[in-house]
Amino acid sequence: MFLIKNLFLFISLMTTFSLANAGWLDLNMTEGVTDISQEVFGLHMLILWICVVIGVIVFGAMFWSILMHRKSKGVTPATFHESTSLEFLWTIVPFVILIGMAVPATKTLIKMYDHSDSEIHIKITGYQWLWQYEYLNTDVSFYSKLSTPYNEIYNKETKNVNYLQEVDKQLIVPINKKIRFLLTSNDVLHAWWVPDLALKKDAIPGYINEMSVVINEPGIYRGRCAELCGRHHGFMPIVIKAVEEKEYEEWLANANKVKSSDVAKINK
Amino acid sequence: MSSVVKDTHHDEHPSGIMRWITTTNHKDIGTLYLWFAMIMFFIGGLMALVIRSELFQPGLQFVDPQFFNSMTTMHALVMIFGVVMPAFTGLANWMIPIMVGGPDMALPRMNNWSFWIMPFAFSMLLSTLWMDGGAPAGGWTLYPPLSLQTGDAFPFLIFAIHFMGLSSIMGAINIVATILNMRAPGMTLMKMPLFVWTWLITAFLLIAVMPVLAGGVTMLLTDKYFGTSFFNAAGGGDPVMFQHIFWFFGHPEVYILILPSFGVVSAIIPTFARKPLFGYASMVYATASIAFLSFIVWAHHMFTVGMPLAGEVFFMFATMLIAVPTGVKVFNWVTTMWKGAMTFETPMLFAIGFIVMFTIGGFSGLMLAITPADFQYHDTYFVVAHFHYVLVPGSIFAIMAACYFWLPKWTGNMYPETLGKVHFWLSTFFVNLTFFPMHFVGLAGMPRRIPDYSLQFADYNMIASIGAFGFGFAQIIFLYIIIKTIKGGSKATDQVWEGAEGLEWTLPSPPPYHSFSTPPVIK
Amino acid sequence: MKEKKLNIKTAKKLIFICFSMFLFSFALIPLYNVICDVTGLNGNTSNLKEKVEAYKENVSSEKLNIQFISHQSNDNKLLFKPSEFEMIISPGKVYSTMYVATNKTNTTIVGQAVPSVSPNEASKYLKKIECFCFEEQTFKPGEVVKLPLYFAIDEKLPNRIKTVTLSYSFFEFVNVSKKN
Repeated sequence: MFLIKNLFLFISLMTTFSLANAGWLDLNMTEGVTDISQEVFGLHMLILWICVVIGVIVFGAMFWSILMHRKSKGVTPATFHESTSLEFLWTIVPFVILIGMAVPATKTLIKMYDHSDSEIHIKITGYQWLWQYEYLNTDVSFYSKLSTPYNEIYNKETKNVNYLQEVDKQLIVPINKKIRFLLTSNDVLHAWWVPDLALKKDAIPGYINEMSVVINEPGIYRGRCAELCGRHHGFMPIVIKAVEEKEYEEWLANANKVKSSDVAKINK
Repeated sequence: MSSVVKDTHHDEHPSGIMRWITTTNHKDIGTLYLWFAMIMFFIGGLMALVIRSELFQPGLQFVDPQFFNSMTTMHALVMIFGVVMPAFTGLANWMIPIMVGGPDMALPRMNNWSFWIMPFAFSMLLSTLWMDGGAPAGGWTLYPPLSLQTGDAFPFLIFAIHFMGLSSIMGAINIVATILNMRAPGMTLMKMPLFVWTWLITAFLLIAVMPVLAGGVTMLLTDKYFGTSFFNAAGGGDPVMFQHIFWFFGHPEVYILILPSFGVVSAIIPTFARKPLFGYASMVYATASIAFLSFIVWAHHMFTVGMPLAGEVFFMFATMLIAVPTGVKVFNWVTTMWKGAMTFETPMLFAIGFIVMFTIGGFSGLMLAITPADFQYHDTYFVVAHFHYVLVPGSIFAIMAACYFWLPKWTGNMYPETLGKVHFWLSTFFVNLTFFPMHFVGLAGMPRRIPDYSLQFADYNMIASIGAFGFGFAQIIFLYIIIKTIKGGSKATDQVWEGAEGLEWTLPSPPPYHSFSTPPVIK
Repeated sequence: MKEKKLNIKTAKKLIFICFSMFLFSFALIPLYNVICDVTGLNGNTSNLKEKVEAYKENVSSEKLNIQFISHQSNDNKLLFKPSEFEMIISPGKVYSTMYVATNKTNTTIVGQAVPSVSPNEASKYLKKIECFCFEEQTFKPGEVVKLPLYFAIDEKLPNRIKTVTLSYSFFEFVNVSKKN
């Protein structure tokens, strides 16, 4: 365990160093804005560096022999063709490394599956090709679809900076509160994915899936449908706006008022 | 190629086109399989270039999104079932009877059938491109309910898959029977070349999983046309059930595509290192354990469908375990090269390229196995980069290595060495230019199977598209080399390669029409 | 020709394996349903009636949130909503709630509600004593129907689960065969 902690430390150091380099962010996974997304990023970097180290050793040995053990150098080939101890060694060592990776991964996974004490419940429904958001226990419910004009898609106008990742109605959520999403679909499979929140789950017609998140920082986070869902699969983005709790309450009250005036309530 | 073979046989058989239609000779059928794969390789490649043209810049330029989806779907089906599988079956047909010291394949007439089903299956599949509602566009994974929205093409797709499956199963039965029954006296199982071993295991995988795919797609068919509800929630079914069935086939299928390449590389590396293969026995056991593990890892393709925690953890652990036998193989190849006396002819270059780039694909596979991280990778270009690294510089490079390695044996002529090296270096450069940037766009958040993307992904997509066109044109060199070598060239010796060992090198180049009429003596 | 016989024998064996695997792919369907019933793999709760007697005693002191949500696949024709969003209940006790369906069209709608439970593990602890989802429903034009639901949560529900969501998706029968 000591080794793993040190590795994590090494990785976080490497990360801070790397972040200083311009352009790095474009090349790597986002760190995200939740505790879990940062853990996921840590896991990603941990395994990446383990792979890099193994790769350097294996390819190093290979290129060394390519350079040194060539016929043009006049070497005579060796004749050895097995070594039980060596073969045993390189079965056991990777096994141990794998366990070292599986342990922190399982811990993060368990955290991801803990949806208890959620305060806000939002139902997400995938449609071909838009999303519906329902704030459960309120009357607030709306559809959210791509707002990029067709002229930009068909190259008749200059594309704006949020090309294909802007919607008509954003999903508004508060920060520092546990939000639980219930996910289903109306027609085919969809997947709701926001990289900054490290959330991705399939929306399956007739079934519900759940996931939860606590967002640490206010901001606008953009995501996409991640499961092929037909012709406009590439054109159903997700935009989620995280705001302070007070702002969220105000927004919700307003949205509720608008809603209740034109939607007849069901008689009990 | 016919002119070449004609010199060396003494049997009576039809000439011209009828010779190829009625042939039951393992070499003829192997040649047919390889040419079929070559044609499909260019068709599938054209589809890839349509995809890459549309993705060259953000915005929709050339094709409709629906047609784009058809292209991704058909590209996958053609490349998997029409290129890699037939190419390996072709190599098996050519080489396995020779390698085990037999006269021909065990069931020659079935062999003819299993090939000639393929052109029908693929005509059916490709004809859907001109149908009402377009070609299948629901992804090669055929997930319902989306795949059930396919138009008239749907039954053609399903029956094409049935026929491809039938062909592979017949081919696999033939290969197993050949390996088990046709070996020369003294050729014990543990003396067989690794290519034969990997194919034996692959053939068992095929026999075990192709019927499962056939069952799965049959259920799709009845769901669409006969009102069953296997995968329809409204009737008590579950769409996720299809994914379980599909990947129960799909993951072993992935190893069907790669195991024979392990065999090819295990034949080439010792030849050019002039040193016996390191750890023959552990190679066999590693192949067998990869095949076994492939049956218990399928749900790692479905980490995001919402499985219970225990399921996610189990499939994460099982998937990571595959890294152990795969690692053993890579270490064995490197150790085979260690302290050898290497030369770097084209087959060796492709084999080394295979090891390096397949290992990169293996690393990203290991990353994908980590479930929490997979939530970020799943269905992004990171996955696209991963499986193209194991399939293009993996399987395809191994097939090319095999072609260069055995082409002098097949035709009796040496291929142009310099041109072969040019082909290797161009392919390697462009394949990396195409697929390496895909890791980055995937990590940055670009989902797969989209015809258009937001602006932050533009640079790397442009690089990838340039690479794809470069790789495509480099393959024309490959075609040219093959045709030129068949037509003529400097004569190859029987041994062909200085370090070559095995029964195929004891036969003349090209080998006689019937390989070993009298069984060879095995040391 | 001893060899030929041997080859055909091998081929027969392999074809047999092939056919068994084909049948196995169909056997996967009931197998999957059994696994789902035992482990709650996909959150599909059984559509079977439970006995009431079993749930009169064994009331646990633990409190649990149960939420009700709905989804209708033809959203403009039928309004299908739970009458209340959330209940706080004790596992082991029988509760009742209802869903309300309003047919907003001039035609009769026939269909069935399909239940799904999240988290999936909870599905096998949710016991429905009386549920409208057991049978198909017919809504006449303009009709408002109350659909009662009597249920209990098994007190064996693992402690870490604090919230259970029960969702009903209403599917209209169009050309889907009626299965029972």
